[in-house]
Amino acid sequence: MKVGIPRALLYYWYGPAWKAFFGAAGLEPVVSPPTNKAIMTAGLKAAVDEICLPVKVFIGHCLELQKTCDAVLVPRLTSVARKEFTCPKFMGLPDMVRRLLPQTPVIIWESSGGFLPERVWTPRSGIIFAREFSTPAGQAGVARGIASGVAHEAVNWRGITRGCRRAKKPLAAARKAHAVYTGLLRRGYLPEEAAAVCDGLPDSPGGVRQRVKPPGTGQELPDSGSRGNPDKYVLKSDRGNPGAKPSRVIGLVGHPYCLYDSFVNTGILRFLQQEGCHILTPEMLPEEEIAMALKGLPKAIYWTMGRLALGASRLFRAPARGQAGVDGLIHVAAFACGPEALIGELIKRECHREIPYLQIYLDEHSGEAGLHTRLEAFLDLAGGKGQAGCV
Amino acid sequence: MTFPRMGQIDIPVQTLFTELGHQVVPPPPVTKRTFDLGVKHAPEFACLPFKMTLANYIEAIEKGAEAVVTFGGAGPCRFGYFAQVQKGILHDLGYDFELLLLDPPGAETRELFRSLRFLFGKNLKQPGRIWRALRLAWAKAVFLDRANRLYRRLLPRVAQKKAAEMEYQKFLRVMAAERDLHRLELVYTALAHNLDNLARLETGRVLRVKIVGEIYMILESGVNFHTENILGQMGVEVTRSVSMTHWVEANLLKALFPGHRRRTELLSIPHLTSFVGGHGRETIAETVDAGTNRVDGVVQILPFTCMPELVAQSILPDLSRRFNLPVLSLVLDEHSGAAGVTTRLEAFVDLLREKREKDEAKAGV
Repeated sequence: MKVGIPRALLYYWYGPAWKAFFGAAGLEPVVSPPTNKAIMTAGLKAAVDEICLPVKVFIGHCLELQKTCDAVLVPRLTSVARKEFTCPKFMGLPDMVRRLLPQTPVIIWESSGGFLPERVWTPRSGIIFAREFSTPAGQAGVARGIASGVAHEAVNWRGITRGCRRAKKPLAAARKAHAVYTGLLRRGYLPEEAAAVCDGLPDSPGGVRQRVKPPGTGQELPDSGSRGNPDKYVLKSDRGNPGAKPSRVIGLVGHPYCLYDSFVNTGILRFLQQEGCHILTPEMLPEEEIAMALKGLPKAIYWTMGRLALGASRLFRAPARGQAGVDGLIHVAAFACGPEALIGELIKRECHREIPYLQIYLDEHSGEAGLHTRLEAFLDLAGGKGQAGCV
Repeated sequence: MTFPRMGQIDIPVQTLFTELGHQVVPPPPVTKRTFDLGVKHAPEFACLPFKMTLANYIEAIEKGAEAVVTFGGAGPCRFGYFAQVQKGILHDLGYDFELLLLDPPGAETRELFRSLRFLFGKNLKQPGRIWRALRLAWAKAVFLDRANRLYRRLLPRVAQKKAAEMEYQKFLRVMAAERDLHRLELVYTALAHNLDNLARLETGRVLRVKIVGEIYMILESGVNFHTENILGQMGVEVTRSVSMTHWVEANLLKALFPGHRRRTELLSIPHLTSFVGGHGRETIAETVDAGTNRVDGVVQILPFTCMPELVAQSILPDLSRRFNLPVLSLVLDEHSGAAGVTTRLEAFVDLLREKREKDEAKAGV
């Protein structure tokens, strides 16, 4: 049985974990192809006009998967960290999507207060069908599972998890895959590379580098084969050997699905790399340092992605312990994104007159030419400032 | 001291603070200038409530307010983070004021205590005074809501709409000035009596439309282009469950009124299985309620880029089909015009009239 995993929204954080979970549950996970014109158009048609582009794209991916898969995974990630939320739209996602997929069952990965699911279940004609509710023992198990934050059983829907009633194994697999994946991201891999490594591409210099080395990059690739830096985001190249110094270091902040979906953002990352820039994103920074950078905020930010963006922007500007900062900061957000409207304002205020800062809003009409011209102008600004600083 | 505007909330809030011995500067009503100020200084994609409350503060500070009292929240709706961002913006603009934030306990408890101390500190020795002030303000809120409900119900049945409107305005003025708890009921009865006299009993069944959506946009008539009034003038009875007192009961006094939440959950769970922040879930629940109680149509009012309401809006077409219930989603932002809203409402009401005639003809056959 094929379970479709849409390559959209938080796939860029949790994709490998989902794949590992369903793989270990004895199902066949199928990831949708990278976003393309057809997928986007389908999503635009099906979704409400005013909703943000990433959700429209997600719906497009679901519609695409529906053609080939027996079920589609729609996560409801209410919150992935304590006292924080993702986005209201993510909470309503399964309800928004399942009315558009009348034929295909929707598997809901429900988590709150952490990434691992409290329940994985399937609504069937509006009624929650959950195996664990049928027996007293099952009910007790669910209560325990919810209390401890770890679900005990994956729900059985017409044999979705046949032969694998206990979800312990899949959960362990998911946890492991997630740890490996985030470790790779932290080391500077971009999601597509990290996912490739998780899929079994050898994690050797040859493996990844050949595959993803951007053409015409003036930047030396570190030995581990990642495009970023080997263990941390320490810009070794800036100090250790000036010969290999990338011309500019650009920090990007924003939601992962805006940064990494190269169709949605018209290939900003690739463009910057071709221009010889070294890229840093929030995912490459250690969680603890982001938390440290945000100390002293009048009120804790309760959107996980917004918190990461603001913390990362602070770290980029004022790097801790003598690490090199960035030459410019780009904030990539979706048009009409709710939290980003406020977070963007905060970042803008903090960056004011400190470092070059560019705000990019993406929508379905974003054109490559216009965006790339703006980026070029921005790079001129960032580069000029950097040189002045050298003297 | 000032506070953000939201419909008639200024009357009870002003009463409360005045009784507590503070000087209150209520923000002036929403005008073109309010829109302009909000749009100019707020981030582009912030929702209309953000922009309007920001403009409220600016206008009130210009009139001499020194402190701003407002609520916070713990997400995921953006409202909980309004105050912090607005403070930064106002600070950069050179406005100096004290922010008194009433965050729910648990999030920023220290801030809550500081604000409460500021508000009630003077009267801590006279708990009777605090109690009287709270009771008077609450009674006013209850009567205002009741009067509003009555007005919405009777307006379509009144021939001289202008006279009814004047009666209502007079009532609001008297209510704002009244300080005696026991006279409030008399004021209300006078209004009820006068409106009753104006109403024509022979009016047949009028169309009923339910308004759902984001609370600020519903209650602040300056922002929604007086939608309720327009509908009333067209001879449509407007019902809604969102109101000041309902909000206080469902959010501040959750423990005392568990029924509100329970009702919302029960009604919405087949269509929206989790909460989505803001009033998204209430919108779904109230639409289901409208569908089962044979209301003629539903108007959803939401500000552009409102996240919870967008989720609801995505699900509403299903409800509309299931209950055979016309739904109009009014997405408003600073570019919306009164004429545009009126035209859409007129078209919607025409549609409802036609639908009902058809339904009645079918039932007759």
